[in-house]
Amino acid sequence: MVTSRDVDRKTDTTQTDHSIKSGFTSIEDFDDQLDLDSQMSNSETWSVMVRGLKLVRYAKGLFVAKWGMRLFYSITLLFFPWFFKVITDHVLLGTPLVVEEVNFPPHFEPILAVFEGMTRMDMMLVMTITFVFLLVLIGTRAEGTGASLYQGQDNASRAENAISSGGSGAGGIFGIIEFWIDVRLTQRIVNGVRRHLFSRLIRSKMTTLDDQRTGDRLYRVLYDTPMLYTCVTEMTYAPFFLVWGLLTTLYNIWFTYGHLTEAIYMVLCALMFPLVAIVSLPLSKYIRTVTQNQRAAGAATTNAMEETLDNMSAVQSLGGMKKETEKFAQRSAHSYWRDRLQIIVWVGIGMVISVAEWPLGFFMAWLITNQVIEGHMTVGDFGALFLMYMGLRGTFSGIGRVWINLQDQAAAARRVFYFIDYPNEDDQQSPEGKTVTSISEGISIRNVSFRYPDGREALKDVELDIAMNEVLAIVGPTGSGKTSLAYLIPSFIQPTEGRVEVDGTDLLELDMDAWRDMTTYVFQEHLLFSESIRSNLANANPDATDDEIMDALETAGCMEFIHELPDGIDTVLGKSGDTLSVGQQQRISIARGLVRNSKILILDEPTAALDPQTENVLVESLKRISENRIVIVIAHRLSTIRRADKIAFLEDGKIRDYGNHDELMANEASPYRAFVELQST
Amino acid sequence: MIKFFRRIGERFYRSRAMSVLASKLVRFSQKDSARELADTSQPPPLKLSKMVRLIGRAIPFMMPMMIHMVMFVVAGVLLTLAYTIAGLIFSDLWDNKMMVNDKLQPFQTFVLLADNTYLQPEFLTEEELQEVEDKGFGGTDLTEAQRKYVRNGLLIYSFIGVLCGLVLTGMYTYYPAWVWQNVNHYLRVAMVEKLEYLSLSFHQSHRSGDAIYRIYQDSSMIVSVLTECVIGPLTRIFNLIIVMGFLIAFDPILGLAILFTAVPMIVVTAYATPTIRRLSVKNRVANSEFTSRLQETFTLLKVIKANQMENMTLDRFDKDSRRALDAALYIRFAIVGLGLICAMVGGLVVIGFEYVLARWTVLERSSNVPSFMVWVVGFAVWNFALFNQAKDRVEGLGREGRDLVGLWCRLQDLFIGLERAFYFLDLKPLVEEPEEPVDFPSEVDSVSWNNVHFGYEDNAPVLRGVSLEATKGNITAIVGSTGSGKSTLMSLLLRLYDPQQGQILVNSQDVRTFSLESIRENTALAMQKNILFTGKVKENIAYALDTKSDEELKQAAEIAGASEFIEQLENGYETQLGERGSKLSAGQRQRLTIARAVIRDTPILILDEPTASLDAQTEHEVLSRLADWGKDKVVFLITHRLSTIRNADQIAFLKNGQISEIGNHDELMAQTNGDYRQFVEAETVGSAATLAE
Repeated sequence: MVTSRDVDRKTDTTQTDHSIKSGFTSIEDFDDQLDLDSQMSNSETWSVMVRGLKLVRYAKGLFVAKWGMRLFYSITLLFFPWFFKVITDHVLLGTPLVVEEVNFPPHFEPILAVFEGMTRMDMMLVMTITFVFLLVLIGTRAEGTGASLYQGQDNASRAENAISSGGSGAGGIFGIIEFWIDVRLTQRIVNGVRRHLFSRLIRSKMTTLDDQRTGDRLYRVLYDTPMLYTCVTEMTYAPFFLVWGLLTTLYNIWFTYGHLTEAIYMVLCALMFPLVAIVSLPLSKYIRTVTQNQRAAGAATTNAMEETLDNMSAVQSLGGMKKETEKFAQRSAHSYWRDRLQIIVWVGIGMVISVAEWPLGFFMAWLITNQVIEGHMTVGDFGALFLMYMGLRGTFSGIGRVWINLQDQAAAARRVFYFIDYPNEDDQQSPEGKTVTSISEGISIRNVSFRYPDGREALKDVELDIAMNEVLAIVGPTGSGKTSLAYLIPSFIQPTEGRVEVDGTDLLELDMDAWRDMTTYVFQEHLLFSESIRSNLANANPDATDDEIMDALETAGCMEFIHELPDGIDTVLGKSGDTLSVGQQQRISIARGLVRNSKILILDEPTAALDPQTENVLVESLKRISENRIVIVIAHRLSTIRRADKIAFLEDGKIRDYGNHDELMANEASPYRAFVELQST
Repeated sequence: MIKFFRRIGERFYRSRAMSVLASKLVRFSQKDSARELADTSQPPPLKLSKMVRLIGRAIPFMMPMMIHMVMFVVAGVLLTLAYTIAGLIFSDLWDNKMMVNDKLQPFQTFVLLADNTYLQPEFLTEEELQEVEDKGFGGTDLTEAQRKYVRNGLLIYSFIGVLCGLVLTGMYTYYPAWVWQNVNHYLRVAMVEKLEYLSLSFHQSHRSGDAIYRIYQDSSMIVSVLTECVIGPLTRIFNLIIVMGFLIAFDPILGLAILFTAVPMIVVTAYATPTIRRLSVKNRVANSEFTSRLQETFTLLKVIKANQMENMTLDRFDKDSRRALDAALYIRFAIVGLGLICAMVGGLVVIGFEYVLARWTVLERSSNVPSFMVWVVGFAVWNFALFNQAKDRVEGLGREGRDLVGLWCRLQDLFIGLERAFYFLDLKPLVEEPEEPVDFPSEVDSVSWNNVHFGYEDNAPVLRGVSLEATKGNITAIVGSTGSGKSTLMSLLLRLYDPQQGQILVNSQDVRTFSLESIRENTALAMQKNILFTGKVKENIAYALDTKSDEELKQAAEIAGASEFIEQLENGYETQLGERGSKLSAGQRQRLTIARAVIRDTPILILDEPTASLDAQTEHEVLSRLADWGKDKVVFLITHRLSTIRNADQIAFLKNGQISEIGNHDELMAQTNGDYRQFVEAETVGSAATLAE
């Protein structure tokens, strides 16, 4: 029945392989370009946590509701231990119940008054009926409500449970309502921060896009954000309910065992707090480092997988299948190893804390049993008192653990906030940006130089005027800065020196969104959505009518192949448009540019993958549409260039020649002429 | 059996019209959403055989870790047993002996190293009894000092127990984590490996995000297969039996009465199961769609920016995210709802029996505990300790029942996940490796296409009977309009796809007889799309090759005309390229892909639009060096550029899926109305006119 097919596991990588276990803090293998730090100071941790806490804004109502429900349920819990004391002492062991002679806290006395004078079995009957009633309402005696599904041993597969499992200490009708509220609360907070991060990422600057890995972005949005919910709970509910528990326990002890000198020893429990805090505090930075690295390793695994999946044609045609599998295997093993490192650190910390806690427990048990043996307390007293001790101990140790428990979350939260804070285009928007709706004169580039953040110099002192109704061709050898020059116009990049003006207004003073609305850029890489051809176009201009879409496709020369597709214009494209040939993809992305019908149209090498006939048609129609527009074309092909109104010849980031084809060709010394002549040989 | 219960359940459901929520859930789970439910649209019916098959499918991945699994399972069972027995003795000693001052059982005195003055009189001979009485320890009660002694002993034992527990807990956290991570790792790697070898037609229609979800989330279900599918149910059922045994031993009526409460639980569960499975599929599909959408968005950020699609993208994010979150909530809500019903049933049993047990204790009814047990624990009549024991068992029973239902629900989700994970592994690649591959020839003399028919989809043929031969030392240019199948022709040679009809031969040997690796190792391809990988320049040039010397790297870059700009980069060959090489200009990327083809130094070289993004001068230089370098190779050139084509030894014009013309430039130009001639004329329409001036 079970056959292990040989294709199942050809690449044999195990985690015992020593090479995957790089050092405790080493970050070499994570291939991050931007976020390289794996160390966090305590103050940084604190500020990250406070920010995490503020996420509560996404679900204020639910947060309060959940708080109220938890509080209500914990109040009901104040009564139960006493019912069991009644059962033990007065039903089972048959001690007579006289209100004045027994130790019960004041809040239970009204109930006790009901029991007084009843027979043993009548008491039991009353309690049984109460229990049944409470079972349905709040699930007394039925344990809590929770529904986490099975998960794996890595952050990715733990994420869903972290967001959506929810839970309630109660059961019954109450519990299921609290469960729903809890899940929705978590989901809203996580979704809120996810959405925020996502909205920041999609507005990344053009220059940061190169340094961010797709897998890493995915990892942060999908698997880091779920940890943030715990920042909210651990900093609000946890301390509150710890203190609340402490108060209720003290209350119980005070009113029932206040006369016992031993109850005083309960104060010893308070030792737990400094003990646990002191023991765990110095370890917190190790958790942060280990968690940061564990997550970075997970992101690196995602990078490897995502890259190979998305470029399968290149991988397969270069025969990189084995190499890519090995790369993934190595990273996967590495991230699992990082995960176990985290386990080791936590187990170690847990042991240290437990060793500090237990001796106190034995001391308490010894003290209380002495009281029982010597006849100062009943057996029921022991049970109640010892439970209280356990409660107190848990509370104090819990308070001591608040900080340490947050370190994992803080590490994940830092990764999320890092990219929320990373400067993007929104930060460049001037708050009162002007809106332009039409261009009368044109664009002027004044004295512009541009350097990439990593220091590469792309443009030097560029001066250029582009008038309305003009087709401008930007020409020049590869790497001369043509694309950088074109990027200036839709404000994809901002000049390091000089200014870009439209009708005399600096682009920086404009509202960026409104300005982009007037421009369209068609990239050299043909990036299509795996949706229908129609929606690829409609997404770029939701207002476009069917006729406009068809027009654009016609102009870009798409119709001839669209007719042959099974579903025509509604054909759903494969992953990144791969079901079409490169030339066809290029034509669709040109059509997408055209359908936006914007004042400025920039085409980066639009004809590189086109055959001459298609190219001729396209160039003609570009001329046609340049009426009341600016069309900028970056091109190598002479046939495209020569029909432009103006040609700017670029070399080494400088404009060397400017004019129309005939003018430039007439000049013997023109660098453009030299360029053209070479092309035609 | 299950069908029967389901039928009962349905009737039960209809008659009571359970609740609005339940029907809402069912409706949600059945709502049709055509595209997203591609392969697992209808949750397969509940079949035990299928579950067994999936477990069997998971076993090969567990095999390497089997010994460890056996070890920790056995150790776990032994430890649990030890702790249970110890707990039982402890509770008897603590509650009955130390607290209520009864004397001890013989075994208990042995453990506590107590003398026979602690022993219950019935276990003593007359003589010993006398002796004990003489010492002043007569009667059935322990003295205060003795009770303290027992207490101290117990404290010491539990201290040791706690210490051992700490160490064992630590080990028990790490060890299974290691084991299961390994198992999951094997599965993940197998999935990725399988994906690497699946044909491109699969990848084109399959979204990367879905694969990521399957590799991460769905595959992770394998870590629960052993513990939850096998050990979980077995131990729970075993526990149930043991507990039932105990209860029946305490009192047979008690035990049998409890058995009946299982009926409603089973009925409700059988009814709810299909809904849970549907919700599980929904959840996984919705979440993988969400992942896909994110992945796609992140790779297309430039387009989004250029076309101002930010708001639309954000709206889509909201929609997809909401759907994923809703689906995650609904499956869990269904499980919680079912759990609630079972908890009610279980809770009622506990509360009801508590009342009965209390009554028996009050009446001091004699228990049914077998007499031999009296040696170990003192439960002859219903007393406080026996009440506690029995109550704990009944509570435990309720819990086990409820957990078993919870386990069942989660297993449905687990199997759906596993099935999705194995879906990849069970796919048969369209391009299959030959059983016994032939060695790739060391010298390639010719490459030929023999009446090749191919279409990506059955009803849309791209190639309709292409025949073409290329020989060593010649450059073959493939020309044709956009979309005429030029790149497709080459991908057939690489076996990225297989033709539906016809053959591709290398030295008259069908390419399907070579192993995939060897074909691709012996063919170098510079692709039109210029795909680079994140990493160093060096790694990109020598992609998928074992170490190449710096000399070779430089030489290849030189031929491709890339060395100049590489050396100008900050760190030369060590420079990190951005995501997918995005820091370079298109022309630079193109030259790197050419260098990548050159360094492979293979007998077959394919250049697909190698110079589209290059300026004329660079193109000229690169091509002349390439022509020189490729003298003893079979070279294919796909291009639109006239200047490039002209130098080819052979030009094949592809039209309507066939080679319409073949010959060299001059020959083809001689045909007055030839396709090639028209093509050339279109290209020169612009430039020729200008030059004439």
